[in-house]
Amino acid sequence: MTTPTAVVPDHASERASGSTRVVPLTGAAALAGAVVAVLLAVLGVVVSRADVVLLALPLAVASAWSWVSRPPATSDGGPSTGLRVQVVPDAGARLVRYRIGVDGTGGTDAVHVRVSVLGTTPRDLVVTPGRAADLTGEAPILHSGPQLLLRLQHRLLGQDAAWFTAPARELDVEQVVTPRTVPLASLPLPHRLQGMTGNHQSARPGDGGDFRDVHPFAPGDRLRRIDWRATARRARLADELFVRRTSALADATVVLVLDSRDDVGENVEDWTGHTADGEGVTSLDLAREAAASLATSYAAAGDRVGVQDLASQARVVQPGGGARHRDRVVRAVTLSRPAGSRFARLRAPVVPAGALVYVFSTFLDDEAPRMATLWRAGGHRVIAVDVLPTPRTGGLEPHERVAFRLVALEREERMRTLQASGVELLRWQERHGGAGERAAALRTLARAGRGPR
Amino acid sequence: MSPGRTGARPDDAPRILPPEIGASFPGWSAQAAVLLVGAGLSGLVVHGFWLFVAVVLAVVATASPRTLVAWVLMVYLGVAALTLPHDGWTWRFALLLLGLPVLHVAAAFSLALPPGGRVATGVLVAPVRRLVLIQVPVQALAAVVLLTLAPGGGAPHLRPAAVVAGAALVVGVVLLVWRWRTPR
Repeated sequence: MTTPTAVVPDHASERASGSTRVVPLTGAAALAGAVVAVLLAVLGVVVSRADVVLLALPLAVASAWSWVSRPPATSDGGPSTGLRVQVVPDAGARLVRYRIGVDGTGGTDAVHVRVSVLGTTPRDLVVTPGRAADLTGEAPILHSGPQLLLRLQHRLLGQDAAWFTAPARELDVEQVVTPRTVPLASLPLPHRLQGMTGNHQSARPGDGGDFRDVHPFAPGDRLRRIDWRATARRARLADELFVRRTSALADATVVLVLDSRDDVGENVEDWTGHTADGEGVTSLDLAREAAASLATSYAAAGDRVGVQDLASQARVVQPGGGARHRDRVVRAVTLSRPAGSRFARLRAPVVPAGALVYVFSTFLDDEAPRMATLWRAGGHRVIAVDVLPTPRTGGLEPHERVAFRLVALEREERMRTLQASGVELLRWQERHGGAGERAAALRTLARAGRGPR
Repeated sequence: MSPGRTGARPDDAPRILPPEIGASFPGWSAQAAVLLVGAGLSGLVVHGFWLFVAVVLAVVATASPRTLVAWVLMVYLGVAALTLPHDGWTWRFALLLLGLPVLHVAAAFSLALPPGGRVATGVLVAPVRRLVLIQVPVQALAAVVLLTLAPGGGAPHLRPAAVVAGAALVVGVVLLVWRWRTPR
């Protein structure tokens, strides 16, 4: 069953207006009608047949009427026309409502609008000018992130279609859909926590945490920490004192690494390029949902979160905390789009010492596993989040099934190698429905604890 | 893996539909209208081998609107009208007088409309209204003129007036076309 993950589009109401353009105009039918009328009239005059002359009369009137009533031309030679688009998301119904308006339709009988919704095959619609001023429709929200909602083009048809304009420039209406976030009850932590403040118990003694031990008084201990009962029980000498020590608090640093080099959908048939064109959830939908959910949960726990992208050196957000930083991180995740493999990295991107690294990838090639292994070798705790959607192999030819099987086997081997190198695995999409598998996996990872590995 | 095919569509996948335009008909209907009207008028006016030629012209006009063969067919039918009995107003002439403008409009739409698109039925309202506005006085004028000029109509002396009127029509159209060629 398809599980769409992107449900919340940005902004309550967006407007996108196409520029008003001057478009050239052609009137082949009007000219042809006038020529036929002249020819028949001349013929009728030459052979003295009034009936033939009468045949020319309605053609002449229709051609002249349609040509004379065309809209006034600008100095560039044609009429001026434009497009207006208003987009209103409906998060509850998981769809987007849009309204298209065509301007400058005076003197026309019809408007031809070519519209492509969500990248599907363009549809040609011919409507009256009144209808063209207010064309409405709905589009389902299928994916998160930036996406092309509408691609529009239009032209004007004159009276009796005797003249029509050239197509105006295409207008693309994009929308950015924020991914859904899933509440996470268990959060894995890095092997070593950093800093002197935070929400997690640190292994170091300090202030703010739970009871750690009772220790003989040492220089630097505070007098109010002296535990007199323990001192009375344990002290052998008159000047021996015991203090109650607590653990320090620390925060975790988490780096979310997106692999936006590809975006594959559920249909294996569509794994031919770097963009997902089939129906159903895609790998980037799952990656955005996972990254946004983890970022939100860690930020709520008071930890520091950063973002990196293996496909882009521009989409980097250094680790930080707070609500505003969380929004910045979620925005960077939302804006990720398939970018292809434009360069190969020699070294893994630098991440803060002691950070927990999440790598969100389909692991269909060796780049992401190689980066994960490098980080693991550098001492970081690395969790590889598998965001490949459950493949749908219907419609594949036999040789394609064999090819897919080979790809799947290579991928399984890649994942085993990752695990052998110390990288922990987490599959984001539920295989059998519900949220049990993922939550259980996160609990296991959270209980794995900290310490040298 | 072969590109260009769509995979198995999940049953619960939401459908992506274009904007709603109400009652509509396919864009190729204009080309079908050219064929029907052209062939129908041809059967009305010509016979035998010339009917075959007319039908071929109608088929070419339908298959390739950009060749403007529909207007060639109109001239052909106008010339063929010379073979009609010159005995005043007849129903055959009235149909030809109606059919030629209809063929002109159908051919213009076949040139402009996308064959694979959908056309709202409201688009036809203005052309039909315009056709009626032109046809009513023209049919009335034709009936009066032809009945008057008929061999038993009693006014053969008006034949020169008809020729002059025809010449005036030609001049008027030429002036309008000339105005089209000059920028407004």
